[in-house]
Amino acid sequence: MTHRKVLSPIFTVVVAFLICAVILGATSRQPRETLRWFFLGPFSNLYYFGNMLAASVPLIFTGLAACIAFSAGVFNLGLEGQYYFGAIVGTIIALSVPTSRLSSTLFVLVVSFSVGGLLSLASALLKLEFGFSELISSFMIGQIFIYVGDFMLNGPFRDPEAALAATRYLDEGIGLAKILPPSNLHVGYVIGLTLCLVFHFVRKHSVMGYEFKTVKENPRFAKIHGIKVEKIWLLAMLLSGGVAAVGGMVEILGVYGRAVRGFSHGNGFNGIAVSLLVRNDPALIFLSALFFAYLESGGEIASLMVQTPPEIVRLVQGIVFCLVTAEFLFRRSERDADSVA
Amino acid sequence: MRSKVIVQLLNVQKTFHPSGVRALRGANLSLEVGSIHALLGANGAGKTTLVRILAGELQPDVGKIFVDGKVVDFRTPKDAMRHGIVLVHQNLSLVDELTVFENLFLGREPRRLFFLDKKKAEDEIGKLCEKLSLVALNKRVADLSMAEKQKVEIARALIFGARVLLLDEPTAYLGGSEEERLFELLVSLKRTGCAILFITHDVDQALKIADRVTVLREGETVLSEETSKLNVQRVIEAMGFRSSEPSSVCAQVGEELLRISDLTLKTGKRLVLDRVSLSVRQGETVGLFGLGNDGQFDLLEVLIGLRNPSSGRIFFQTCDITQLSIRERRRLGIAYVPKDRLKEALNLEGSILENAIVNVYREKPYAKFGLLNWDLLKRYTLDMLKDFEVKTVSVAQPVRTLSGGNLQRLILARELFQRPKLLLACRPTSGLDVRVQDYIAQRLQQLKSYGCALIATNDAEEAFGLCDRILIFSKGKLKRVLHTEGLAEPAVLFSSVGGEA
Ligand SMILES: Nc1ncnc2c1ncn2[C@@H]1O[C@H](COP(=O)(O)OP(=O)(O)OP(=O)(O)O)[C@@H](O)[C@H]1O
Ligand SMILES: [Mg+2]
Repeated sequence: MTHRKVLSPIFTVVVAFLICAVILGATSRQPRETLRWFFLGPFSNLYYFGNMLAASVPLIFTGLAACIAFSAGVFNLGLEGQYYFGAIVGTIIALSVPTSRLSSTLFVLVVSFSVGGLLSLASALLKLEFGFSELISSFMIGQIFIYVGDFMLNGPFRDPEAALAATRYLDEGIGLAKILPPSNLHVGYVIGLTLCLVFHFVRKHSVMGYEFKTVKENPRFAKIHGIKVEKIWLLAMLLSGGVAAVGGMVEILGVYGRAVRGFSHGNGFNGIAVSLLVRNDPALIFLSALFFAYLESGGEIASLMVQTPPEIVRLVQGIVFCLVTAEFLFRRSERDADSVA
Repeated sequence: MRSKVIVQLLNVQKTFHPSGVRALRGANLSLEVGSIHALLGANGAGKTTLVRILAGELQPDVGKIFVDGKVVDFRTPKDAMRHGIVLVHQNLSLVDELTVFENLFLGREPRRLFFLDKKKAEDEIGKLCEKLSLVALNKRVADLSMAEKQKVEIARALIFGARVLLLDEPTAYLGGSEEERLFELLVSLKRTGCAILFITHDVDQALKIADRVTVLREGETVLSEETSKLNVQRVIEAMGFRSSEPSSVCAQVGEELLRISDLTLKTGKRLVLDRVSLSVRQGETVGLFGLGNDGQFDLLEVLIGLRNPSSGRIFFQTCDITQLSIRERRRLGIAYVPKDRLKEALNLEGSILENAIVNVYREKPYAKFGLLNWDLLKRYTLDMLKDFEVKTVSVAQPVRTLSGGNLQRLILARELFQRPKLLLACRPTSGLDVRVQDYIAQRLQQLKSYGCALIATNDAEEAFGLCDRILIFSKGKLKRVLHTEGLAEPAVLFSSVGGEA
């Protein structure tokens, strides 16, 4: 049992790498070069390495966001929208507060947390009030707000000087400090790790963690024994959406410096796979985020060096996604078959 | 009369890992064509493990299984099914959302039906359903009573071509008359040549229905004998119990703890409870008895706060608790044992510890500043388990590794250990062996010195054995009140329901 628990994510990762290698090797004209850049590129110098870690930061946040919702047995499929829209609103606020103070950075993060939290809270409320599945409603609300965000970036908040749909640049002072210059790595990495560890601790040692687990495993049992199941669901959704949005804001404060149309490019959705890959264990999320970031950076470096199409990485991500969800579903049915008397 | 042996188990042993529990240490059993066999034993003796091995769900470490005289090696339940051996679980495995008919064919490829003569198959099912008086083929399983669900399970097994039917505590959820009907069915199946094995804790029942009785004790077969050569005394001794007279302490009846006035509950158009009023004083154990699901269980759900009454009030001690939440009611000292143990009373995904602490984890010494003190909670659980003699290896074990009786003990322990003022319990002693039943009766006696209990049941003997006063329900109405003291036997309950219905 326990060794299967450890083995199957590793199996997934290995299979993903193999598929990746086969596709790259088959499509490229210089297969050896391509594979070398793809797999070793991210480790070839500190700049690439730092960038890979930086690329894992948003995934750590969205992975944690997915994990929080899963921990209470609810699904938040609106991560992409919460990540994107929460960060855009945060950026707009950041443009109009006095900068170069720690408090204003914090304030901006709180704002995006609330915006993202409200989006996900809305779908939780729809579930409780009308019985709508939060799976569908969170996804749809998320999609709607991606378009609202696009509109804001294209219209009222667009920087007239910029060539693409984006806001003005934020003041340097409000951004997050870099860790490994000249790479993109910034303190957001540390913030993300800390949040994961805090949530890990909360799950193991707090009243809230016990209630999350119990509600997830048997809501009826929880209710009968006086746990306010609905409150837990609302809380989990709120935290999940909030953390996703903070992830987006951290990405803007740390890397982009302004909100650019489409800057989320799938980081929200990938959070779900990041969390599932390590079976929703918050203490391991940084590893699985790193794995996804590794694929991404490898693909980028390979496309830079030997002109492979960068879409290949999306393909591999898709395959990993299928593998982890398939495994997730398989585990469920296996568990249901077990019986007691 | 020597009849043909169809299944035989020889010296079967089974140890569970990683806990190292030796569930079976040498079990023997033989089933004969056209006979009913009863399997008895204390909680945790290994009965369920034995039938699961026979049905291919578990593999024995040592020992042989013979079917029709040939050694077999079952790897999966499908293997056992191929030999006509089917196990009906205690927690039935039907899909609630589907109809009876759909459930009958669950897990059976329809293609196989085309190989058969389809018409004949349909006829056969029709005949079978008639035999089992299964009429409502198009009803959703969720709307069936426990007894009907059991019947669907048995029908399913027979369609699969079962010649050996294993039933794990089939009567645990059934009321008296439902039980009668089940046994009539078993007897008629036996006449058609099936071999039937059922697990039970009721010795009288076993001796009445079965042709042969086998007793397990700590994983070993200690008795296997034809019923005609046995008596209750011998069976109970074989199980390892001394037969004891339950000591009945007469507790003083004190202040009024619970008063319900004109409680009405409607679901949709159906009147589940119809203007029920009653009052319970400290020192009383009151039974709520109905033949099936006559509102007695729903009443307890209303009292704990799971459902809102359509009208009426509930008073506990002096306060009106009609509007309070479940948590507030539990805090006042109300405990509740729900009817469905596996789905409602336990979190089967969790550990023993997590299940044991659900009522206290958020209270003062166990939780501070929102953090749990696991050491304290562990000690609390150990004390509780020791007090109620729940046999475990470690509290971190998944709760689903406990035997059925130990699960029930765990549930009762959890609710009683806090010394509630009012205990609301559905079928508290079903699935417990005689010794534990006595033990629970004793606990209820103790409870009387500081609280009271309301016990909802459809088992007349249980009501009779535990309660001082029995309120008889029929279709949501409170029909009559009986005091057990003057009554001779549980059968009176049936006649008193029948007389008014
Ligand atoms: N999957 C398992 N893992 C570990 N221990 C187990 C497992 N299943 C059963 N056991 C243990 O094996 C012993 C026998 O269990 P079993 O379920 O066979 O008892 P039983 O005779 O059916 O009892 P009851 O009357 O209480 O249902 C118990 O001590 C139980 O805790
Ligand atoms: Mg059992």
